[in-house]
Amino acid sequence: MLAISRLSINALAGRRNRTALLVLAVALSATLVAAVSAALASLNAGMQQSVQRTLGSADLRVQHVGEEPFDARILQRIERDPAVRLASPVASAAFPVINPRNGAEATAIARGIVPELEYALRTPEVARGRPVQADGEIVVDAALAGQLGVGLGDLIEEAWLAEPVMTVVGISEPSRIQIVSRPEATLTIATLEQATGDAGLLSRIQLVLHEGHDPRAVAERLSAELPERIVVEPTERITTGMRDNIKANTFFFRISSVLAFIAAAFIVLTGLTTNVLERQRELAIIRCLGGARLQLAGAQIGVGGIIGALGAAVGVPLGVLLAYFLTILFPERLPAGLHLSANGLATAAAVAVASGVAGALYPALNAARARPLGVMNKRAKPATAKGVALCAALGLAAVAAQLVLVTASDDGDFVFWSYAYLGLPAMFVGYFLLGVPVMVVVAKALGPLLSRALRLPPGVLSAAAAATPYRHGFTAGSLMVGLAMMVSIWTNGNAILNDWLAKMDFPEAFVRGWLGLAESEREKIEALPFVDQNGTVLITDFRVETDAFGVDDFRQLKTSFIAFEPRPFFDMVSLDFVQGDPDYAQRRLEEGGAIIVAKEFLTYRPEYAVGNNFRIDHRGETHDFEIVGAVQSPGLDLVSKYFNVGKNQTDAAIHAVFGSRRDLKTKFDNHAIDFIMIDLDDSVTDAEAVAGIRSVFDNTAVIVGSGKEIKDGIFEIARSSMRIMSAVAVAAMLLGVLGVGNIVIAGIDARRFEFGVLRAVGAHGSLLARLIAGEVLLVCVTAGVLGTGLGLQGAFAGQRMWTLLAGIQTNFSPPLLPIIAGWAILIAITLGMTLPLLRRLARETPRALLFATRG
Amino acid sequence: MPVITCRNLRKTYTLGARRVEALRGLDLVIDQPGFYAIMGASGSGKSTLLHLLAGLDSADDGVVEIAGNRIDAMTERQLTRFRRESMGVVFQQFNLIPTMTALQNVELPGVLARMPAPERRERARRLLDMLGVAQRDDHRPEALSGGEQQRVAIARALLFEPPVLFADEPTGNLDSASSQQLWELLAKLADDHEMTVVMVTHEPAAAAHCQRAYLIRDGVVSGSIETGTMDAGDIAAEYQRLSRSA
Repeated sequence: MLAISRLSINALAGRRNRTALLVLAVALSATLVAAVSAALASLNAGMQQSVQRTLGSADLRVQHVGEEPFDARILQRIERDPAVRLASPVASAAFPVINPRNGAEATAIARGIVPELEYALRTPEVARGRPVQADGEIVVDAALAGQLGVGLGDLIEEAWLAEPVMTVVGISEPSRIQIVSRPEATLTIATLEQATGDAGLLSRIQLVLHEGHDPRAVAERLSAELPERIVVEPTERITTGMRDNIKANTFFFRISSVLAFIAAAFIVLTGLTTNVLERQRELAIIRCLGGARLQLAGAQIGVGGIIGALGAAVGVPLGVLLAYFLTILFPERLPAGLHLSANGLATAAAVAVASGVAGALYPALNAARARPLGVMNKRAKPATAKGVALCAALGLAAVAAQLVLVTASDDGDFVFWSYAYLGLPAMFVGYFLLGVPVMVVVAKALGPLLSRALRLPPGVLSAAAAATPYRHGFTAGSLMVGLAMMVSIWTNGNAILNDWLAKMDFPEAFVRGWLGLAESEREKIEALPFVDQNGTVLITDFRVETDAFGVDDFRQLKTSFIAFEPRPFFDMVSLDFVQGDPDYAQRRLEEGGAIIVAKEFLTYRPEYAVGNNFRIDHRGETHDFEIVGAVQSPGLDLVSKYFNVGKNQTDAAIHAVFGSRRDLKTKFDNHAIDFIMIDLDDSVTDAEAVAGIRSVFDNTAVIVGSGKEIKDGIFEIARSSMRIMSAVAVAAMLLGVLGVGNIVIAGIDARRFEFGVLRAVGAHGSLLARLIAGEVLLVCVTAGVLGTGLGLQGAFAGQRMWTLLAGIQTNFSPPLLPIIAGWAILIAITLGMTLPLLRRLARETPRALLFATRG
Repeated sequence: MPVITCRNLRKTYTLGARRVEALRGLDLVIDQPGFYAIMGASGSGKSTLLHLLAGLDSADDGVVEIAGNRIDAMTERQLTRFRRESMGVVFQQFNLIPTMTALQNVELPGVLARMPAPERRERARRLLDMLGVAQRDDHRPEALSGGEQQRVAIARALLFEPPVLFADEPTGNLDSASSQQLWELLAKLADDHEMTVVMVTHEPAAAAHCQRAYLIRDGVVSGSIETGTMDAGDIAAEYQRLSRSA
């Protein structure tokens, strides 16, 4: 063991620059895994925080089936129940407030509580000051405090009646979950009732049960005993959605870790194999001196392990730092701040060490094969055609395997799981192996051209590149990953934007109420001069359960039931019916028991068709609907997501079914109104309309937006996501560039004597630099070919999965500009990184190059 | 017991489509310790013989015995250990590890054999001192002259005080003065430590320091010269005569 460790340490210390490059490559991989782990842990913590804020430690939640306010006397009934240990009521309402000192006004979305009960369930979160403890006190969020210009100790009043007067005792962080911010306040129920004039109404009650009571059994019993429209739900049911999200995030983390491991292992494999090949003489000497094969192999594994361990030591803290910066840059996405997962960080360290060791296995085998007489062998063995052909065959087989897995079946579940666990890694490994034959082809095809361009002697460049196809080919493989990511991101991103989102026809303007809207508010809007008569439609987004979407054993996705008034809706929106008759659909929707679906839904579930039955479950009841039409999506579900109308943020929903408000009320007992959709006169601009509508509502808690504004907002979110992911792709390119640095140094070291002879007989130093630059460019071109292929194949698989899992059909049209930009970035950063090495080589004297071979 | 015995040694190499019979049933016996030369023209098989004697390669047929040990019958592990602890080899190109200092190079066989560090270090320093390069022990090979590097290589070969030392044209990369010094050194080692030193050389001046030179021709031992009392010129003449008469 001592011999092995001495040999390992000596091998690393003797070539510090190259060791450093390999360590950096592994470190970057560890950084990626650690950053993803920490970011996901932070994301999960944010979700848990959000759920905790809503549910606290409650076992059950009581609310109206339509999420409307209900009679507070129900609280007394519940409190008497022997199973209930604690019942904490909450009332929600919006009311206008004013700062009497400066006259500033705002609308507060207020939450009324009973402090001692509420704080028994959850720890109150206050950034400054203290929580509410008595009547007449209020905690406002920082956004609301800013609007009113108040601080701790200041007084605010209800704006119309100037009472109650409330003292600001605390200021909380503003809610950052939503895209549009919501000005929140907390006060006692009694104070809230005084402010709104609505007494005796609650929005929910949270229950903690005595030990030994089963929440589900109690929920069922209470539901039966309480008035019909009141439902009691175990909070576990609600947290299931959160756990599913966490499960999905964990799965994504595992996939990223595997890919990072493969990329780093290949870089280490290439670097150490190069190292062993150069050190054949040294290894032969050690064999002459009595070194055993196992000792030489063990030394290589030791080298790999040390590189991995050093990479982990550098990379894991860097990854945590990167995740920390993400929490600062994107606080709305990561509201809980930085959280770490011990398991995740251990995985990052393990990936680093494992990639070092795995990458060292083949070099270890090579080292063990060193023969004592290798010390006499001065000639390098050329790469055999057989070896290159084998790489080509295996690479193509692996790449083909991915294509087969993705296209052979239309079963979304099968395709998803087989792709995640087999197809994606196989594709990755396949393209790495293809690097070898592609390098040979690129060297033969482009070598002469590049030689002329770089003014090199004919044949030298092609021969140099083709002489070590494995080294160059695998290095090109490590370079390809970043470009592949870029190609895939922009191909699929543009596909989603252009083929799906762009085709949605958003209505002209919306009003959204923070706590819902009333029918009377529609009248105010229709009274505006620029709103057409009957130019409004009431919309509700309601999450229901179907078996329509999601992947078995992974994540079930809820369906949005978008409820509207059929006649005004059909008058306002010219729906594009791809199946079904519009007149029949309208008539059936008005009758009830019918829905129309987005066309993607029928693509995703081909067993459904217009005329079929569609089942929706809600609160234990099953409701059947006839599918009466399939349409180009009117974008209402996306608008809903944009304003985060989804009541429970743990429920991911994809796709919507569109039904009538009549069914919403009669079948689901929901009378809520989330949006009012508005049709505008041509004479008014979007900005004028929005301002005019906003003025109607005064201090009511609403937001107003134009359809164009919302569509632009959604597009901008998508584009900024693509830009962020492109930055990640460039970081992946940097990882590959470290691998290139290694082979450049190795290539120079191996040929120092040869270069010395060239210089001695009259070659300029710049010739050597141009030769190496030419080799680097050939590697870049190989990486470009591989990366483009990998990216396009990955994009194709992605689009196939959208079709199978979500019914979204897009066109496969790779965007030229981002691909060219990706190539340009790749070549620029690779040449930039190698430039200092080339400059140094060009300046070395002939003697220094010749002298390096002594010993 | 003879120090070195070879019987009916055969070795054939395949170079592309050609088969080259380097040794064709060679017999050789070296009875006692001393300094011996193996001479022959280029392609005569002398280096092949040395490789087989030093356990660096394996014969197609025949017997090789070193200090009573049949190395042709050893397993890979046994041969590796024997090479490490019972033989020393010195090459023309020195073959020092470029990333190790002189001291570390000498210690290397001891590291491989898991010799305790203090003992290993003490032996290495003593050997470097004996060979006159102690003051360069912390230098890497690139900072040493050719003669110094070869001395370090000899010190490395002697770490386990082997009974036999093989040297394959050890002065091939040295100037005449350094070569002279090295031959004298090898002769002294053979005398003072009762070692058997076998040196492959094509230089009569080298053979003049030996007690006997064996001539290899066409893969067999074609004769020997008692060089103990002869000078380089006499050896060269005798070598020429024997080469013509065979």
